[in-house]
Formats: sequence, structure tokens, C-alpha cells
Amino acid sequence: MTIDYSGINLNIESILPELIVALFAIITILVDLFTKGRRDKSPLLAGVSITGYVIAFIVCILYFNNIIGSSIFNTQSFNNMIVTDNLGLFFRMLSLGTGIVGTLLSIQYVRDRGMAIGEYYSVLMLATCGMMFTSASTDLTTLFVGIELMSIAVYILTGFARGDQLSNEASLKYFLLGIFSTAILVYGMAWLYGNTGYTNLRLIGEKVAEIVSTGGGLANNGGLLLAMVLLIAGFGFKIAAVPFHMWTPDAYQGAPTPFSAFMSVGPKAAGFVGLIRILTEALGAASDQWVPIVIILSVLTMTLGNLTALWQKSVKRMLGYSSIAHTGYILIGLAAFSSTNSERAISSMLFYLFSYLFMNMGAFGVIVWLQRNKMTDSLDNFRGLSSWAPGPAALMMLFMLSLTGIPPTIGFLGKYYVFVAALQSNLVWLVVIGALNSGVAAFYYLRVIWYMYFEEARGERVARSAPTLVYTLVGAAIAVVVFFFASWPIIDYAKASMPAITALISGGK
Amino acid sequence: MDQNMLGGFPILSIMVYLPVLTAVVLLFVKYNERSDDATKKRNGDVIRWVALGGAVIDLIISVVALALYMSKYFNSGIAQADSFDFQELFVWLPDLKIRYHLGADALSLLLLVLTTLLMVISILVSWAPIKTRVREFYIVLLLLQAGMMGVFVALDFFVFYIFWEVMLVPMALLIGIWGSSNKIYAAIKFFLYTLAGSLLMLVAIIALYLNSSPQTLDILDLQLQGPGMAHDLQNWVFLAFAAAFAVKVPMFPFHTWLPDAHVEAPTAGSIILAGVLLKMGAYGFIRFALPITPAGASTFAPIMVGLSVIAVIYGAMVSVVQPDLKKLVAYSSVSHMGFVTLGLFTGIWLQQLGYDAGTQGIDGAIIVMLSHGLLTGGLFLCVGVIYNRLHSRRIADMGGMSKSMPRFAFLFGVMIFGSVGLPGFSGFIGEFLSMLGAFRSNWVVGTITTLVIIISAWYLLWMFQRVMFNKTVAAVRHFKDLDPIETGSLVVLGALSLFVGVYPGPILDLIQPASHALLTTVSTATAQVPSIFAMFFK
Repeated sequence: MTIDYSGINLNIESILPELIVALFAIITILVDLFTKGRRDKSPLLAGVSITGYVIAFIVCILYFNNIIGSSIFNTQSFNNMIVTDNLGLFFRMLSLGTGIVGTLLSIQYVRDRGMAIGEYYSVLMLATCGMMFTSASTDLTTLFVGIELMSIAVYILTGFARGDQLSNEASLKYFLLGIFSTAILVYGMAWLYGNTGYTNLRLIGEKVAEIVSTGGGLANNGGLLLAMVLLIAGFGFKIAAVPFHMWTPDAYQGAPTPFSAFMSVGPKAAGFVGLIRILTEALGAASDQWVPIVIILSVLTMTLGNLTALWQKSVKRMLGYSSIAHTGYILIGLAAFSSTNSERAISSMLFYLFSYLFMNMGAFGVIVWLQRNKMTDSLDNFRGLSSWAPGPAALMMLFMLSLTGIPPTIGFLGKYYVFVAALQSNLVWLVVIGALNSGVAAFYYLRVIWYMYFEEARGERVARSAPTLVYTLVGAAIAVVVFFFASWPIIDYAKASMPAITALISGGK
Repeated sequence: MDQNMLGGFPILSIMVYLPVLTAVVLLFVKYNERSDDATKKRNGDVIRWVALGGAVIDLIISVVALALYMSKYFNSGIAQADSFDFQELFVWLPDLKIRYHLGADALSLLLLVLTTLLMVISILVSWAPIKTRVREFYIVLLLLQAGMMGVFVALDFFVFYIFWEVMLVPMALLIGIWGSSNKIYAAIKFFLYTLAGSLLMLVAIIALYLNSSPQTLDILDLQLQGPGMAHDLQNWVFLAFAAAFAVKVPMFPFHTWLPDAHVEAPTAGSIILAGVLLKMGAYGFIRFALPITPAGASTFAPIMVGLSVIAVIYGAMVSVVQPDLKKLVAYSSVSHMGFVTLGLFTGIWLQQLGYDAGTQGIDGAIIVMLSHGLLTGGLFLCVGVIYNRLHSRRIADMGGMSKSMPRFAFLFGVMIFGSVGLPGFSGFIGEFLSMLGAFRSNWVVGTITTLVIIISAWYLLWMFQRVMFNKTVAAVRHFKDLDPIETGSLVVLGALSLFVGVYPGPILDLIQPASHALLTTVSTATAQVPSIFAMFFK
């Protein structure tokens, strides 16, 4: 692999998936405009945007398997700002999957609530587009632009239920804390640029490796250390790591539920890909310095997330805290990163995020279903669910078991991979803390099952039909079980998805 | 290596997944909680017959497998410890060396037959008492069966862990939905206790995997590699395993979930719980903890013996003062299972002290496991019989039942005498061997446990007197005697116990090679391991 740094290599096809998604975001708005008279536009517009997602997804898969675009594969384009490597492609596909599931969950919800349907789907696509740009970035500037495109779209959608006070409050809180964290992120990037003289991640990486090998390590370079801490804090906000998690429960609870589902996976994944790129590509040589920080973050995040989730009465809020805890488990994988254990560390995180997509969006989906039946997300409303709606109750039980990490579900496999990766790096006590945390988490996930199956329902209830929603949930449930038994393809993809710098490290650079 | 007398025919997989298949079939049977009683009963009966059919076929398959195994090994004269047969092996996740590996030896097969038999009985005795959510009940019961059988045949740690966890949810649901008054508390307690133990075991499994070379999760390979691993590692791994298995046995002081769970569980749940689930812990010790980490086992053997003795005495003492019939039987389980761990760990302790232990302790433990499954399963059935008629479990509410129910009085008596350890029943053989082991290692331990037999005779016979004889309570006068299903179930259980008690030869022959091999592993690996006492008092 030779990288040509000279001249401007545009390679427009390297952002083909993003272009498709952006194009369909516009098409969705236009279709909305030209079908003003139609009564029920939601399925139509959802169909248009899903078409966009699927086409982009197919392009990504073809790139990944080198069926098309092999000329740009593992090459930097747009003057070394965008890279088409497997790590980016994996996260682009993950973002697209989140977009598809999020759209499917929204169809009935946005219609029932009388929201601005065209704008909703369109902004959702732009958020996805931002996540994809983040995944493909190999330069501080594009990374920042991608994160911002995603974040602004997400702020808008969080407050999309205009009549709902909680939604407004969540949006404002999220926005204020969000721009604050963005400022930290930019500040960190500025320090990184100031100390290395580059904005390109690979060039920064080489420079940092040089500083580490000649200057006696990063400990002597205060500027780089500051940059590292600021960047971890900035991305820590996006992935909802403690102590940067304050926005999470409010935002999840206030946002329109299908969008909470989207938000719990998509922006988190984008934050993680940014973190992986910065820490392994740019600061890979300094892993001795950042691994301890990641370990501390991981312990704090999973412990605090789980302990707070125990006391929640709102299931959306509980899932918010549980999402914080899951960030902690994924960080275990990142903590396992070292020059000898990079492949398993990174691939375990990717697999975990993949499994998280189905189980967490599924759990939110059941709340969407509940809200369609004119109920709030309070735990009380799950009372006796199994007696009047056995199907959704069984689905929710499966998602809860998967989030707990009980086989045969994909959630167990995700935890297993992360634990194996960490034990391989001799982080025994971190794994023990992780295992104990799963035990604590079992209590609040289990409480939902207990309410659904052990308690009696209040009064007679009849479930309203919601075919699209139920089929989506069944699909997610099938994925949760099937990918447990047949996980090879995903694991092969995850293992093939290494950032390019890993090759540099193991190559002895 | 992967030996299969049926030439690759997956008889174990069929046995394990048949209940799952039956459960899936049940999903498609029409059943609605809100329809009128007649329809509900009609549809409910379809469900019961389908479940029973699946369970009976499974019983037949397991008996055939046991018969094939016995005939092969008795005829050929080869009965080796590694004689796992009916093996199935294919690669599942090559990246992490996870293979789908099943296999069964004599111990597995005996426990499989016990499971399928108790499952048929459980389905039969739930025929009338379970009236709500009939379909869910049988689905949960069948999934539980699949999990339990999977544990007995898994030869790969990953596969084993999956089945181990699969058992957890159905059992918690069984207690929590169909139990009596305090069911939710009991279900949650059961779930959290077991999960906490299992998670530590998971960490231990991964540690074993990473420390083996070549890296493997195969139980047979690890049985070869494990004893050679560093003693420190073995100690930690053993402790983590013990956390999971001691909760299941249950050993003192991890037993407190058991009485709650038993009292609240429906009769079928209690039978499965006492008959099979409690065997998981002991099976785990025999199959995993002892052979893979013998040094760890012998380090902690004195403590395990101590805890077993406490469990034996404590369980018996609490039983004496129980006013609740079901709780009495539950605590007697704690006491009886104490004999199992006692038998296992006195053998280890002896080896460590430099004696040739002989296999009595381990043989005794295995026989007690089987016998406890038959007899305590039967006792819980009897408690269920009384509860269905009287709707009370308080011994004070009972009395004089032998007059209206003579058949019941006889069969209940058989179960009681078997549990007491009357010669001629399986309980006697097991407890005798187990005590023999105890006496040889330490006469104090032996004497104490022998005295416990007297206490157990006291509380069981005293209970029998108060329930069956004494002054006849008015409510009891018009009770119907046992129906054919109940009679049949109790007769089968009693007869099997009697058979093992009178003619234990074949079963002892079957399990002895395995216990010999276990002792050899332990003694070669533990010659230089100091016990935990020696570590502190040297």
C-alpha cells in the first residue's frame, strides 16, 4: 500500500455512500412537497429514505469486499481528508443500519403524533450522513465537520416533538452541553495540530511516534498530553462516558421515542469511531498514556450507569442509564488495545456495537409500541403486559435478556468478546468489575420482565395493530438470536476492519 | 477422539433439542386465556398431550442411549474414564476455538435418564393443578429440560455455559408466575444468586482458555491440561467455579435461595428443582472443578468438607423445627446434598493427607445424587398431593390422612423411609459410602455425619406421624385417595430407588472407572499442594 501525499487526489467515488444519502435526504423533502394533498404520507416518505439507505448500504458492502472501487480502497482522497478503509466502511454500514431501523420504528409514531414528516426523515438522513462522514474521516477537519453535521441534526430531532415540554427541555440541555463539548473537542484538536503541525491523522501518528521514540515518551510533552485529555473528554461526551454523561438520560427521555432508539446507537457509534481513529491512528504510539485513562473511564461509566439505572421508574430513562453502562463495557475493549493486541481489541468493540444496534433499538421499539397504545414509558405500564400482549412482551423479554448478556442472545457474545480481549491484555480485575456490573444490571433489566410476567395488568386492554412496527421488532429479535449462532460473517467483517495505523505498529514502525 | 458408537448419529442433540421442538410446536396450538372454560380445557388438553408426547419420546431415547452404552461397555470389558461416547463435534467459531462438542459418559447418561423421567412425571402431575397460562407453562418447562440436558452432555465450555444460563430464565419464570404467595421475591432471589455465581465462572472459563496451550475450550483437552497449570491460577479458577456450583448444590452459606424457591414453586417446579437442578452443582464439581483444577480443589478441600458438615447438620436441625411441610423437605435437601459434597471432598482431602482414599466417597456422592433425585422428587410430589387437596402446607393443619388415603400413606411412607436411609433403598447405599469416606479421612467428621442420620430419621418420621396419623382433622376425612397418575409416578420412583438399593452393582460398575480416574488425576496433581490450613499454620 503506497500513499501518495503529493497533489490533490479527489476520487469523488470515495464519498459515494454519503452522496447517495444526502441526495435522498433532498429527494425526501421534495417528495413531501409534491404530495401535499395525500392523507398518509409517512410510509411513502419512509420508503423513499429507506431506498436511499439501502442503495448506500449496497455500495458500502461492494466497497468492503473490493467488488467495486478497489482502486480507491485503503487510499486517502480529497487531499488526504477521506479514507476508504474497512474500519470506516464498517461504521458506515452500522450508521446506515441504524438509519434503516430508526426509520422503520418511526413510521407510525410520527403519523400518530402529527409531526412534520418530510422534515423528520430528511433530517434523520442528514444525521446518518454526518455519522458516515465521521467514520470516513482521516483528517481533523473532516472529522469535526462530520461530528457537527451529525450533532446539529440530532439536536433538532431531539426537540422535534414541539408540543412536548420534555422534548424541548431535552433538546435545549443537549444543545448547550453539546456545543460546550464541541468546543472542548476543537480545543483539543488545536493543541494536537499545534504540537505536531499536521491535521492529517496518519501524519500526526507518525509525528507522535517520532516524539515518543526520541523524546522519552509523551509524559514529557505537556501539550500533547493536554490534547489527548481534551479529545477524550470531547468524544467522551458523544459516547456518553461518565463524567460526560449528564445529557444522556434527559435527552433519551425527552426525544421522540423512535429517535431515542436511533440516538442511543448512531451518535454513540460515531463517537466511538472518532475515538478509535484519534487514539489508535494519531496517538497509537502513546497508548501507554491513554489506556489508563480509558480504564478509569470504563470503570466509572459502567458502575455509575448501572447503579443509577437501578432507581429509574421511566423505562426510557432507565435505557438511557443502561446505555451509559454499555459505553463502559465497550470501553473495556478499547482499554485492551496495545501494540500486540490491537485486532481483538478493536474487533470486539465493533462486534459489541453491532449487537447493541439490534438489542437496544429493539427495546426502544417496544416502548414505541406501548406509546402507540396510548401509554407512557413508565415502568407501571409494563404491568401484566404478557397477559394482554404476549407477542411484544416476549420480544421485550428477549431484548432485556440480550442487554443483560444471557445466552443464547447476541448480547452475551458481545460481552464475551470484550472480556476475552481484555483478559488477553491481562486486565483481569477490569473484567471482574465488568462481570459484577452485568450482575447488577441484571436486576433492572429483570425488573421489566418481572413487571411484564409476574404482575397483574390493571383493567382490560386490547392491543392496537401496528404491523410495520411489530415486523421490525421481530426482525430485530431474529437478528438477536440468529447472529448469536451464526456470528462468523460479522466477526470476519469486524476483524477485517482495522484502522491503517495498526499495520504500522505491528509492522514495527 | 470423537467416539460415537452410532457412527456420528447425533442422538444427544436430538435428545437435547426435542423439547425445544416440542415447545415450538406448542406455540402454534390455539389457546386463548380469555375463551370460555370448555374451550380452554379442550385446547389445554391438546397442549398437555403434545408436551407429554415430546417428554415420553425423550425418555425413551435416553433409556435406549443408556442401554446401548451399558451393553457396549459391559460386553467389551473396556470401561475407561475417557469413555465419552455418542460424541458430536464440529467447529463453531474458529476464531475463539469454540466448538460444538457433545458427549456422554455413564454419569451423564444416568442423569439424563433421571431428567427425562422426572420431566414426564412433572408434566403428568401438573395436568390438573395448572389452570392458568397452560401453554406458557409447558413451553417454559420444556425449555428448562433442554437447558438441563444440554449441561449434562456439553463437552465444550462455551456450549456448557450457554446451556447453564439457559436453565436460569425458565426456572425463574416457573417460580415467579405459577408459584404461591411470595413468588416474586423467590424468583428474583433465585435469579440473582445463580447469575452472580455464573458470571464469576465465566471469567474463570476465559482465564482457563487463555492459559491453555494450545488455546482450547474443550473440556476433555482442559482436563488433560488443567492439572499442569500454575497452582495459583488453579486456586482462583477453583474458587470461581465453586462460586457457581456451590450456589446450585446449594452449599452452606449459599443455600438461602433454596427454601424460598422451593416453597413458592409449583409442584412440577419443585420436583425438577430438587431432582435435577440441584444435581447441576455436584455435576459441575465432578466434571469440571475437580479434574481441571485438582490443586485448587485440594487446597480448599478442608473448607469444603467443613461447609458440607455444617450443611448436613444445619439442614437437619432446621428441618426438625419446620412448621411448613414443603420447607421441611426443602431443608432436608440441603442436608442430603451436603452428603454429596462431603463424599467428594473427603476423598480429595484423604489423597492430600497421603492416604489411598479409595473411591467410596465419590461413588457415594454420585449414588446420593441419583437417589436424592428419585426420593426427594417423590417427597415433593407427595407434598403436592396434600397441597392440592388441603390448600395448606402447615403441618399443624394436617393429621390422620392415612385413614382416608391408605394408598398414599403407604407410598409416602416408602419415600420417607428411603430418604431416612433405610437399608434396601438407594439412599442407604449412597450415604453409607459417603460416610465410609468421611470416617476414613477424619473420625470426627464421620461421627458427626452419622449422628445426623439419626436426626433425619427423627424429623422425617415425626413429620410422617403428625401428617398421617395422630388425631384426624375434619377437613381430611373426605379426601380422595391417589389417582392413577399419582400412584403410578410414586410407584415408579419408589421401585427405582429400591432397585438401586438392592442391586447397586451395575451402577457402581458404571461409575467406578470414572471415579478412579478422577482420584488418580487428583492424587498425581496434589501430592505437593499444601492445604489451606498448612498455608496458614506452617
